[in-house]
Amino acid sequence: MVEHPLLWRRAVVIAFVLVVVSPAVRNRDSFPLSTYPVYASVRPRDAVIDTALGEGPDGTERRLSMSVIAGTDDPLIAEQRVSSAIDSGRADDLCARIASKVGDDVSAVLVVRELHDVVEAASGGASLRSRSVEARCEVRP
Amino acid sequence: MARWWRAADRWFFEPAPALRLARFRVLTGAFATGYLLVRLRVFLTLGDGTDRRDFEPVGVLWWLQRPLAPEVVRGLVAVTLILGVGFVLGVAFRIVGPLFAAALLVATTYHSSGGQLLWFENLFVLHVLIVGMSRSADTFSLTTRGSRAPIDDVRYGWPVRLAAVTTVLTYVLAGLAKLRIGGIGWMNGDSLRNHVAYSAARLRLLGGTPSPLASVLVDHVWLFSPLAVMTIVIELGAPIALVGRRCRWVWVAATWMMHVAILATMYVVFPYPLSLIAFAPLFELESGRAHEGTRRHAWLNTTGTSRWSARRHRPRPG
Repeated sequence: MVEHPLLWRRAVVIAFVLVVVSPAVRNRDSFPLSTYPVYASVRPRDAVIDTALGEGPDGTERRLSMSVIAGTDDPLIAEQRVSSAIDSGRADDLCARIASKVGDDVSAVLVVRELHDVVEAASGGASLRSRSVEARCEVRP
Repeated sequence: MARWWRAADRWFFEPAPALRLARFRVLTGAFATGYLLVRLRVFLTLGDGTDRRDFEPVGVLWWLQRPLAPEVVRGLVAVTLILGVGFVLGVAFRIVGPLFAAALLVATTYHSSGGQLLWFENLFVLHVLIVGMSRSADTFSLTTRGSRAPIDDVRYGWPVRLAAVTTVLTYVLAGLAKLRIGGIGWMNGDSLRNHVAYSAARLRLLGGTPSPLASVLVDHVWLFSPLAVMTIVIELGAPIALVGRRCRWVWVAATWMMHVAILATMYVVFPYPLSLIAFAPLFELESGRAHEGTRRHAWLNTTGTSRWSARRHRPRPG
């Protein structure tokens, strides 16, 4: 790299710092320049969580793994993919894709939007307030 | 104001040993390459297997009309990994340094273009950009092995200082975001408790196993107000890490503990700060270097002498 005179270095430092803080001024989150709104929202106790469920032949529910639901081990990404599919009217596509990956003990897949008391859900209590089934598909043997 | 400006200018542009910047290069390069390796399956499958209608290009990829072909994504990841090895070793750094920084920026930006910004990748990408554009392979590299380290110079100091300021700024921005979005009410603890509970609930409902600590803690709401206040104090108080040695240690310890607490309660990993490399530019990374007169490169020494034996053979004065 060409040797910088001190003035040029000062300009680089000031420009870089301004670029790093610029998302906060513009209130625009992106990557890798960010406002870092990590856990910044006011989160109520009741929250909507989008997920997918398996249903056994006897009608009992089975939780599916993130890798089956969304091909990831990151819950943030998994939930976002389910939410995105629901919001853009592609819940049926997602349901079919999940159905192709579940085990023999699942006879149907449901893509659901649920309202939970998250404090109850965290401690394993009865947390479900409401549920809307966005898509349902049978698992072909 | 002028006095403050002069002090900042002196702090940024004081001569520093090349080893400080070189060691930071190795740390950031090793972290970024290791991160790509650990998340290799995720990065390799970014272009396939997922619903590509989720694609929302951000940052430097804002102009993309459609997702990249799977082969292009895999090629990009492979090239980034190879460049990462060259970056760590300091090989042909004037080319490899900027190329690795650019490739890493594109790969991680593509990762964040799946509809969800991934905040835990921002800081190390910014650090690699700083290091990749600097003279960080003038020592402690494969191409300079066996040669004398350059004398202390301004050009080795300011990139590390800029990285330190970047680390501090990211925390200040995170603190400001909480006050801007959540308001003062964010500190009453309810929001933080519900965030911890939400993470656990989401994990449970997506087939995972939430932290047992979260299950216990969410029932004790009184705990969360002091934790929320501490979080804001740590984040907005980040600039004290630039003030002095003791302040720096206190802030780094507190911030690291905050990330440990997030990991323990929410199973959310911020690998860069947890590895402590995010805080490395705040420290004098050259400490422990060999004496000026015998400053040979220890870990890539071709003479077969270790740093310790080089010290033993230091010429006597006179």
